[in-house]
Amino acid sequence: MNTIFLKLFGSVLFLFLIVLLPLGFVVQQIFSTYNESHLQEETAELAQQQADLLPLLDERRLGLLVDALSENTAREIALAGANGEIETSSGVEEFSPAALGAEGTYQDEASGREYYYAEAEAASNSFDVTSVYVFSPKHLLGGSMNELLLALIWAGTGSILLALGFTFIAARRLTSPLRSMEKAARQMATGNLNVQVPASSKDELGSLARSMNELARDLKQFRNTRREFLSNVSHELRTPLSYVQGYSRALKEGWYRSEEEKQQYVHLIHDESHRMTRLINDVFELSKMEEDRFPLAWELVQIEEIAEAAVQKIKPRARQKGIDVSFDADPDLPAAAADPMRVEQIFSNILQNAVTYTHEGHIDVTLSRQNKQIWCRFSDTGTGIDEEHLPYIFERFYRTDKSRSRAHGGSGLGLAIARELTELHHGSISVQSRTGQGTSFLIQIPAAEEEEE
Amino acid sequence: MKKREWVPAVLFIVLGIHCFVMPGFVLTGSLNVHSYLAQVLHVCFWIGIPIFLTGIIYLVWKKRKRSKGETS
Repeated sequence: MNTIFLKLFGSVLFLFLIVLLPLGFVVQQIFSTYNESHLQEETAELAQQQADLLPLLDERRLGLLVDALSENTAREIALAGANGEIETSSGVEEFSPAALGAEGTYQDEASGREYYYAEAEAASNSFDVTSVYVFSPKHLLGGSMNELLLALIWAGTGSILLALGFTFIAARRLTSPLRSMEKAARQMATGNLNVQVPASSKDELGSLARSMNELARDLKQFRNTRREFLSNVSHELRTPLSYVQGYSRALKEGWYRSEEEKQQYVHLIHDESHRMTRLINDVFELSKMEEDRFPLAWELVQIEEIAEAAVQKIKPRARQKGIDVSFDADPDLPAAAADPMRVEQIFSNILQNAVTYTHEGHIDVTLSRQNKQIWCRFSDTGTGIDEEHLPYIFERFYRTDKSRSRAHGGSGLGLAIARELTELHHGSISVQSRTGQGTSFLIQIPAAEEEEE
Repeated sequence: MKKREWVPAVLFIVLGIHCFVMPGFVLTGSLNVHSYLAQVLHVCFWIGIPIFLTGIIYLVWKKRKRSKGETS
């Protein structure tokens, strides 16, 4: 039994009791009052009937009338003379109309019974009877009222049981998805993120179930990414560290044959430590970018100037490989609000990749204006990227050729950083590639609005 | 809802109907199978009215929602 179910169940029972008990009391009061007035009217009518009969009766029949009423019904009768004294009665001898009035209640002390009584004036008759009193015992009401009360209790119990039955079904149906969600949340808390909550309904509960499923998916993705990230970082650090360890030990133990070999080892240690520093810096910057804690020095810049500077910086390396780098920008490019250092970092990362994976041919950098955006396209004639790798190349440490990529010296974070930086500049980055034909990166950066300018 | 969860619900409803039938016999004082079943049918009829009306309203609401979804 869950608590919400019991609360719903208890609430309905409570509500029904609140409504039914006073309702039962009021209904009982209504019936009681109605019956009393009905009995009083009936008594008055009967008294009138008896009074009307009096002039038609003789002495013997008068006695029969009194006895018949007394014996055949629960009622009593009393006949009073002109002086107000009771002449004859059927068991209410102590009744005194002078003291009690024309109608009301009377308790016979001899029998202990309580009566309603009513008076009717008799027409002139041979017995000198001026008033006829008829008495109806109150216990006549008691019996029917008890039956009514019992019927009300049955009906009240029936309504409560029916309400509980239907509430049971409604509460179960309402709390069933909640119980599933609670179970799923418990499983998620213990680390099982493969749970799925059924989300068939379109109400708030369905929406909550869908949100929980999305949360489970996101958490699972986050956990996988974190594991992969830690595994990648440790792998990327282990390789240079083992180089540093090995060559420093060689130096320490004097395992070199010449000063030239010693210097080679020192260079290798320096290169690997430099590589580790760059990797750690990249990881640190990337984590700051992903947590939106990366400060950007915003200013209005001409993107083509930054791109040209990045091209100039990469040209010597490209020239060493015999690759031609061309730069072309539309003359009327608008300014953009950006951090120039970070935009250059984006361009440099793309260009370094282009030079690394292009062995012959050329790299073309073209900048153009498209609506309210500046399009920066970096195309090369390099090895290209297989289609299967394209969706993942902006992920951290993703390498298309794991065996050869270390030889190129990259940290595996260049494109991930480029994407994060582009998104921080409210832009987007996309790639098109064909294996063996080359790759083209398109970076779209929003142009500055007039008010920004 | 599982089958065993229906048991208490149905039990409550059956007992409730029985309780509703009883006042008729308390007041009239006559009890036989025929009049009992007739009374049960009467009570079920009155219970069925709100269920029927709710069902109609639900179907109309669902139909309207579907037609709105198709037009938008």
